Amino acid sequence: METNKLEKTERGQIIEHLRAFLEPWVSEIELLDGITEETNLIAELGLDSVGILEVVMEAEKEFDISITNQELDSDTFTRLGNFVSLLQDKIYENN
Amino acid sequence: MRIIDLLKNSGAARPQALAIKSGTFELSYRQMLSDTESLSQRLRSAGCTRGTKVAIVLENSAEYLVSFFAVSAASGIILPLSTRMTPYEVAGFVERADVSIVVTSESWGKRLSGAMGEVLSSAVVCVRYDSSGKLAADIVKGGRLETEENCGDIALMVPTSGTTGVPKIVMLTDDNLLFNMAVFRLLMGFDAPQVAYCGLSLHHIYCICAQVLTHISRGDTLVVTSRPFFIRDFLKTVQRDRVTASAFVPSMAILLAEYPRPQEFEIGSLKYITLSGAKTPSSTYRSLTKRYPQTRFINTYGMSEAGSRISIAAPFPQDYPLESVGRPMPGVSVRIADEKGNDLPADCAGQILIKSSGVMKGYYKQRDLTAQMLVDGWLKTGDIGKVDEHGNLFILGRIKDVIVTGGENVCPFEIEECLIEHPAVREAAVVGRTDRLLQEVPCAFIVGRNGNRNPTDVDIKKFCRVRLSSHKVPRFVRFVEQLPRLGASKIDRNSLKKLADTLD
Repeated sequence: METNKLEKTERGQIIEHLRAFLEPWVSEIELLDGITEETNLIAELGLDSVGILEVVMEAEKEFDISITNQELDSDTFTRLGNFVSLLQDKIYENN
Repeated sequence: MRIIDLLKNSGAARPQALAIKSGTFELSYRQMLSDTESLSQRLRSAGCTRGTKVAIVLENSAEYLVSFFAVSAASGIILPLSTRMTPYEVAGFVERADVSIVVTSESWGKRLSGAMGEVLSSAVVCVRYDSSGKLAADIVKGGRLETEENCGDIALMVPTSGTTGVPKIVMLTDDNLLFNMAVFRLLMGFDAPQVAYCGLSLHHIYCICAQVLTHISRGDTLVVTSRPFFIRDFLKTVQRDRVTASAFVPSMAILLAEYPRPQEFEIGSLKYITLSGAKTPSSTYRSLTKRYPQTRFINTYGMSEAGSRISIAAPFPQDYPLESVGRPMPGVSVRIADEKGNDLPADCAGQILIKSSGVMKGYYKQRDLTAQMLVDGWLKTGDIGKVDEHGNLFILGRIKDVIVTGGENVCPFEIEECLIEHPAVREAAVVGRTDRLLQEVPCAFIVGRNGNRNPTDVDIKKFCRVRLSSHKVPRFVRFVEQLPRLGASKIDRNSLKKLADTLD
């Protein structure tokens, strides 16, 4: 139970960071109000390849991790939760 | 012969063949032709006639391709606009090009109305394949028909980055496009029916020539996706759809060259990849040919003003020096000239000038600029190059201050004009910062108005993103005390470029 709660908080914190990174790249800023783990970053937020590169780069800097383009595909971004899981894995790998 | 005739011919010769595959949605040539004809009727009823300018604002999709040919069938002029643009950029082109009809999606229709409000005088037609595979085309707004300029036999108008901040619109005729496509297709030497993966935006002239017109004329299949390019998605699609051909820019080639385990996918079907947009690094090219021996990687060089392709290293790329972009295509004459316009001998660097049946009629409503760029039928490319004694063409640089990012040409002045509109910005200069993947990315140097109370780089990016396509938004923003200058006014872009390359 405790672990679950901890994980949720961490995921929530990651999403809060991502919200800031996403701000310049979404087609309309209001779209960020209701983002959840289910949000599709491409279809719903209008993120394109430049935005994705930028958000990944910011996340790498913030969490001190390294992600190669080869590890990404569109499934990573069609659900925010998938991206968060990838970041979590990378953060744990580092620690 | 016109563009639409390519589809008609393939529709008659290969009616059952698959023309378009987009996700799980498939369209045969018979169905594509029939849907194109019904949409062209709809466009006619919205007022489309010979010379009517019709903007298509749709992402890569079956709807985009059907609309493209439907405008030709209705005798209109196609103006493809990228959905990467902001609604304001689209609205700007709609206005500048005297567009009478905008063909778009429902969501873009709404965004566009928001950006233009009542100023938008064009009719808006929303197209969509419904869940039963039927094409719905609704005229959601009537419009005033523009009759600004007699465009004669123009078939396609393509926006291209300007060098003065004002984007230009290149006018191409059916003859320009068909000549260029026919020569390109011949040189590629395709054998069996092809399955072509379209991962770049299909509004690009490169994709229009090398993919849309080429493959539709052959009755091949176009696999279209509107998602951002991920190399793993590409490899999965090649395996799933038995993709045989694609058109790449260098960033895609780098990702393919560096993919660690391509053998996880069955990609033996992939035979042809053309490379354009900028020169693919030689190290990447070597790695590609070593790791994917079944695929021909074909360097090509082109620009919108040339009706697209100028030179190509085909059909056998190994016959050409690695650093070259092949030889000028048959029917394309190339000269290398010095600053005064005198011809230079082999191996001497100068401006590349070209002449061919593919060269544009001119820039829309910019006669002076057209006269500067097109002299006695010779098009000044603005690129520096040389031709060796065997006739191979090499691109060495460019005269114009254009930033090439991910295969897109971006004019720094357009970004600077946007930055200057920010209340905290007094002066701005934008240069290309060298980027491993995208060749260059825009980097902005800004002199602020408020002393030390400058906005953050995120603020600046957000400000730009509302007004500019994402690839034009500066990836790096630095505030400086003053901009380096050459003499009294000219900004020293070379020293800024060096500085940009050192930034973290």
